[in-house]
Amino acid sequence: MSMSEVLRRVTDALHTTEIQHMLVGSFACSIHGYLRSTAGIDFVIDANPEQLQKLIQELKNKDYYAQTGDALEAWRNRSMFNVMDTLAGGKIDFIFVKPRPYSREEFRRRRRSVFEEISLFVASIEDTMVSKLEWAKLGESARQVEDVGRLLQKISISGSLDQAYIDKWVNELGLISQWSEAKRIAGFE
Amino acid sequence: MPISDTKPEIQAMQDRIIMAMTEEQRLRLALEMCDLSYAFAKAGIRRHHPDWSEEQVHREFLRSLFPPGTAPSGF
Repeated sequence: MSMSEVLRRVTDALHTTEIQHMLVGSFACSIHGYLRSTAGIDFVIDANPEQLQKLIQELKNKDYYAQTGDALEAWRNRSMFNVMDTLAGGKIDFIFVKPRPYSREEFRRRRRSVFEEISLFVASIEDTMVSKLEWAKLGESARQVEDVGRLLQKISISGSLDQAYIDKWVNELGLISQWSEAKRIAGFE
Repeated sequence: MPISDTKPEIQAMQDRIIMAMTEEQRLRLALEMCDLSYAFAKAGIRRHHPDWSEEQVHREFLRSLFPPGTAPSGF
């Protein structure tokens, strides 16, 4: 089984359970123009416990490793949980949308996309960048800043960017040094 | 500018090709890259453990997808 099929099955399960979702991370980065290899698929979701229980059951029916207890604990902590497609080896991280202004705005700005006739929502390019800068600040990986720099280079070729929006959240979330480094990597500073 | 292993004109050519793709094409390519990296990871496990069965290789591969020490019990 391929990762395309994994994405289809997981997106199907999200639609069936009517869970609001947003593809983020490296696959969002790739959609926006910087092809980035990664080991898993990351979704931000907004779901209640009943929807989560249905999601886990849906995935278990598709032979996924998925635990209701993990999902409910993550819901209580507003953190994240993993499920695994044990045939393909695809790991999917479900991250709960945080109850703070930036995360709500990021979720509101997600864009509908289509993959193999399945609609899915994807983080905007600006939010893909801001989130990666924030992960970098949290010490996740220096690679996150490089991703933003590479994305900036791609945008300079063919796209447009809401610079004011990025500046606003870079300032509010305290990401100025990470943003400067990303611009340096892009060759803009 | 950071150090790069790619000549600027080659990079520009690749950028043009990728940016000319649709979002769906770019997502498909990224998913295929993921498939390829999984295949390489499994090949590496097979090389280190030539006596292992395919099931053992697959199980080790699944474990490797989690950060060290975080794989759920059963993996």
